[in-house]
Amino acid sequence: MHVSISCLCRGDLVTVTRYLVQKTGWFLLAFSVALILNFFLPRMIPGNPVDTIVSQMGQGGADSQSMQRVYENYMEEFGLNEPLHQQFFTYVGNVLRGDLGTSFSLYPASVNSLIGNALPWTLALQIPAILIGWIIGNLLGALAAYKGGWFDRVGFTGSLLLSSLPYYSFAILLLYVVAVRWDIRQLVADTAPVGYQPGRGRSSRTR
Amino acid sequence: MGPPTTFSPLAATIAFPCNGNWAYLYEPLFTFNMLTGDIDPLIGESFEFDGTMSVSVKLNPAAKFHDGEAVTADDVVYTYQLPERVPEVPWAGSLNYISGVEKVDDTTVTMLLNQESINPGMVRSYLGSISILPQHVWEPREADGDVIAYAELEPVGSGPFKVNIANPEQIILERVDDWWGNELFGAPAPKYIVHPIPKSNDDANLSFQLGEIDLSQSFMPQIWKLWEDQGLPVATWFREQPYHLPGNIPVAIPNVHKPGLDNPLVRRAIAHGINYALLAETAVSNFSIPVNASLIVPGAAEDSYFNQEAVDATGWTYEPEKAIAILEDELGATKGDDGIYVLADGTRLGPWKASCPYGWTDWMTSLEVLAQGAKEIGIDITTEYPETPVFYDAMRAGNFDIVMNSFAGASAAGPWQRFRDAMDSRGVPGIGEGPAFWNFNRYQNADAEALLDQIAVAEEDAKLDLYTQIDEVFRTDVPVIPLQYRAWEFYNINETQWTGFPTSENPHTPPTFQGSGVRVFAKLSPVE
Repeated sequence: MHVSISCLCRGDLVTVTRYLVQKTGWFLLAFSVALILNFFLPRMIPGNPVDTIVSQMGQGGADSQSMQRVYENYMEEFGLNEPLHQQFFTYVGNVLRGDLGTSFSLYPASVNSLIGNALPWTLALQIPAILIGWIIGNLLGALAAYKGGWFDRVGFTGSLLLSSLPYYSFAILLLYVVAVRWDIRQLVADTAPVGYQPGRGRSSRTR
Repeated sequence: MGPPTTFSPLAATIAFPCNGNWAYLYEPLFTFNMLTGDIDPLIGESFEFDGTMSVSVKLNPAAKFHDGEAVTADDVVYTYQLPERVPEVPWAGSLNYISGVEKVDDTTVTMLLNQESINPGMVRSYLGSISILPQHVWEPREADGDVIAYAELEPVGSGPFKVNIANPEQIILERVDDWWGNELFGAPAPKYIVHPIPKSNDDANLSFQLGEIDLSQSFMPQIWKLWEDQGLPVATWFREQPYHLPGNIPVAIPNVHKPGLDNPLVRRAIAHGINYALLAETAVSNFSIPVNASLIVPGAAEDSYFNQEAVDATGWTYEPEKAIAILEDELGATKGDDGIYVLADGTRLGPWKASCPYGWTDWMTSLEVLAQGAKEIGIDITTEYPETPVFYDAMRAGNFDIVMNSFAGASAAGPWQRFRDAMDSRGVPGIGEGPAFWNFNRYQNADAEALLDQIAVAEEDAKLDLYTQIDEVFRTDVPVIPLQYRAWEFYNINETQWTGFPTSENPHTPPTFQGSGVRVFAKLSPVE
């Protein structure tokens, strides 16, 4: 029996190092560009986040003089009255320390905690989905290749159809089948007596 | 909407039900009553003004917080003084009218009226909206630092409900069985209140139709079909147009500093060109009667100040021929080849853009009706719908031709706030000098400002006359153009599960979620 033993020679090491350096360089470049875009793009839009917070206050019924006072104080607190380059350095400094700051739209929650709350759900959905997709996909593929004939043709056409369905329309179809036809909502015990729906987003108060 | 991130009444974006006007969990001293326009007792038993110097408030000695501590004068003083130390709190504006709060004894406080802007009405409005905080809970947090950003998830209030569950799908409130107000105001019948956070209006409206939601604040077009065609046990305040109790007046605000729009007669011509009945029907599903030429809302809290005779005598209605008469006879304008009028000094009437935030479909339709009406009388107005923050930025900066907005709704301060918001230039930075939070078009009129100051301190029986006078200034100058009436809150009832909700035929409680409307829960009984 012939056994080939590969050795890591000097030439290979240079190639790997160059590869790693190159990759790291590209990564750093992409990271910086993303950072810069992430900072400047929202700031190029007219208006500012404090406008939005204060508008929400107004929709909550706050009077215009309170809004004026709060606006001025928040501009100062968020540093939005400082020069843009200074804001940028503060931002970069915070990001490097792993601090993504305070959410404007869900003030006063920290962005870190918002991502932290959402991440387990994303992972719990994504990881099984990827695994199931990988296993079923490979099994079907192997089976189709092995069996051939009608199984191959149906499998191929079927998966082509499914994969080219836009996910949002597929989601509506699933919603219809699972929630309306099978009505799995009945499985959820409804114990609460008064359902109460005081509008969403804009309250009618100030409109 | 995202998940509730804080129930702190100090935050700018407060989760249901913790802002000042919801007396469910936190309670203000008094609650605003949409039917009477006055404030009803709650923690405060009574109040008495000492001329224009101060107001003395008697507290109910029975009032206590959920943790058993009594609500005392100290808590009231702490709450009312908080904006002096933490200027970001949403009731910071109260400092403009209340300059100091003093404890007299455990159940009495005296509030000093700010002598620079004396306004008992605004003080009443704040008495009916500032939630009383437990000092023993909040003071230590204040000492720890950034109290405004405190993420309060276990709020301690004094109201009939507390938070049971809060997640991104819903907020569930649980009845406080030993609420201090049970005997005085009646104990709420439901043990829980579920506030689902729907993904969309359609989603919410479907749940309402299915009887899963008993009370809804959504805009539900043609809601009458639910009882007329489908026979569902659904109701609104009135059984016919306008269905809901009006509480505000969304207006179009022309930029009074643009050539052409700076002429009150041009603004009046535009007002004559708007088909208000069509607007009410298409934009707001007939949840409004055709609007009057007045900044006072008839038929509800402000009805006693509304002067129909004066409105009929000097107001405008949809009359395109009158608009054209104003343009041709009074202004001497001539029609260009393109069908648009040009004033005698060569100013072409337009092109002007009328805008509101994208996606606010009822307002977008209102502006389409306005623009269409203007076209028909030879004024060139088109519509534009920017994203919300962009819109607000431009409106506050005064950088617009015509914008749509609502000023203050009905309140214990009467229509005063709305007139102030539309016509008072004091405290408003000029165009290019900073953002405005009222009077976005920087309208200026000394008569209006003098009248505002008179109304602020006037006795009740002098107010009708003064409001008629300032409404007359409004009709002469047309600083804004009313477009429709808007409910303070839409109040859609489905009595599949619970019955006893108020309607105009049985008006035992105001049809509001906020203010005195909270008393409805004591009137409900389950359907057998």
